[in-house]
Amino acid sequence: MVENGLFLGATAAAYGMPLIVELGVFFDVLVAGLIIGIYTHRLQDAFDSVDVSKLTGLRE
Amino acid sequence: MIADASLAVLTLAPLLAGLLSLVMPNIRTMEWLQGALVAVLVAAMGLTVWRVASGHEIVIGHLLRVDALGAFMILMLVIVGGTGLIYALGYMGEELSRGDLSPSRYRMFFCLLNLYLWAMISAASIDNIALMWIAVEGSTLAAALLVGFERTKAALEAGWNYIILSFIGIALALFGTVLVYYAAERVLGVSMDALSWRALRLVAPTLDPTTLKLAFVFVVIGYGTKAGVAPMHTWLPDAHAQAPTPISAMLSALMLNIALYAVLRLKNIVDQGVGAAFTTPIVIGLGLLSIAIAAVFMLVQRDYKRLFAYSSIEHVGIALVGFGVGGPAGMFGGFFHMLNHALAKSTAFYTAGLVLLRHGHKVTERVTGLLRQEPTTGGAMLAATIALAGMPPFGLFISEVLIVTAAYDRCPWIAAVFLGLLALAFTTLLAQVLPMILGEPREDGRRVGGLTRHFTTSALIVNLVALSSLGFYLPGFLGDLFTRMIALFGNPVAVEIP
Repeated sequence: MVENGLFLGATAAAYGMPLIVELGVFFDVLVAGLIIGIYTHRLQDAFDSVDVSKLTGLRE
Repeated sequence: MIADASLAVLTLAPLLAGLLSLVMPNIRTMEWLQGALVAVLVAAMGLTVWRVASGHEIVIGHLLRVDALGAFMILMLVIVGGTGLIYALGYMGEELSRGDLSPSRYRMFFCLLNLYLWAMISAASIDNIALMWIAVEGSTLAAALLVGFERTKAALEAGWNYIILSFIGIALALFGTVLVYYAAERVLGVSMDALSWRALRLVAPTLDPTTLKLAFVFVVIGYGTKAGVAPMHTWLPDAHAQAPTPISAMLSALMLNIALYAVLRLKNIVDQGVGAAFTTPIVIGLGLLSIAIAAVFMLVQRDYKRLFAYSSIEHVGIALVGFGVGGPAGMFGGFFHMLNHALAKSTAFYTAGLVLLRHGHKVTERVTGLLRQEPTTGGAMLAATIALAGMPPFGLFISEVLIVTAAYDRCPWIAAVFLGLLALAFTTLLAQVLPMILGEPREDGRRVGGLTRHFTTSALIVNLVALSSLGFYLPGFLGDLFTRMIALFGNPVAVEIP
């Protein structure tokens, strides 16, 4: 959520960065989304739930 | 000509190797491919560094430009990346032969690792703040998949934390980057020039001060998250501890340094634009905070990989203080520290990985007598730990002394706090690691295969030789590089180490 807002803000302030940059950013965000999807899937397999607040195994 | 070709090789070879790894006919050929990649990268890096050290920047087109700072980063990336690849061939190869890893995952590991290295080498060679951001983000993505590679609950959780914090950080860094562009396009127009580090540095005094300052804050928090700077460091101990050990080494040694590099580039521009008085307190403050938090948390670690991970946070803090204090001594201290830390920390993780392969657990308490049980591993861990604690005869001692001296000149109490924190960290690290190395071995564990030994020992030897020699001798070309890098940041001065 935070990240979407930030990206939106960044794009809004960009006033049209050179095309290659915008393409690159788009591609990065796309792959990032894919990876989050992969992780959600794997987390679901391992933890049987997508409830992030249950990720408390690692402390300190 | 040759230099241009070597730069092209540096930026293309890892990508090619990564993609090829997926389609190589069998595992053996893939391993040979990785070996070939290491050889090619080392050769290309050698040519590149030599050329830049003798005073020329390497430029290809409008986008690729390697100046002294870029060459320095490439030097670090290829040395640690190279030993990391060799070590990984041993480590992951052992897991493969033990049946803990499937051949297709083995391939995927090296593919991702190659892409990770490609992204970072690109980040250091691109003269464009936005494309560099894209490269750093690319390395983050590859690293995200590598952190959670083992798919255990702990690894996935660590990977998830890493993703969340890294993506927020990188989004903040993007915002900062866009702000710089916003300021720059008024002066340089709507073009790629407005994104070029070189151009920005030249026009820095004409850029809007408020925008620059704001941009720096976003960038230092954003890229600082990736560098493991406190208080945005919380993802680091988990990620570096849960990742497969070759990855832990390369995260601590390379990713953190590339993130620092990004912060440094912008700091350079902001300092040229509004004077160093703005960035100095921010950078020194974050640096001291990082050292403090790391030193304190190291006291309570029971997992030896987490211990080394916190040590990384400490050393990033030390480098930041050096850069914040500035001046020739401060800058040299910071850069020298980055290099030596990369070597020492990767060595430490390599040995940690060997311990993990042998004993199957990461509990510090249960490991003793490494020096008797596995002399090479124990000896290397001892050397690395002494180096990390900041003792002579290693380079980290030299850089820390330089930073303290420079800090004392600027503001004595910073030096005092710095020294105090270092003393704490020194004691803690040694108190935690020495019991692992000395004494009688308690558990026997499972020995590692001969071939694995060859790979891992080679990686260790290269690292240790480099680490030890830097403590005594600064090679000419490196001195030249440092001189040029420091000149980039202000007072040009010749660097000589007696």
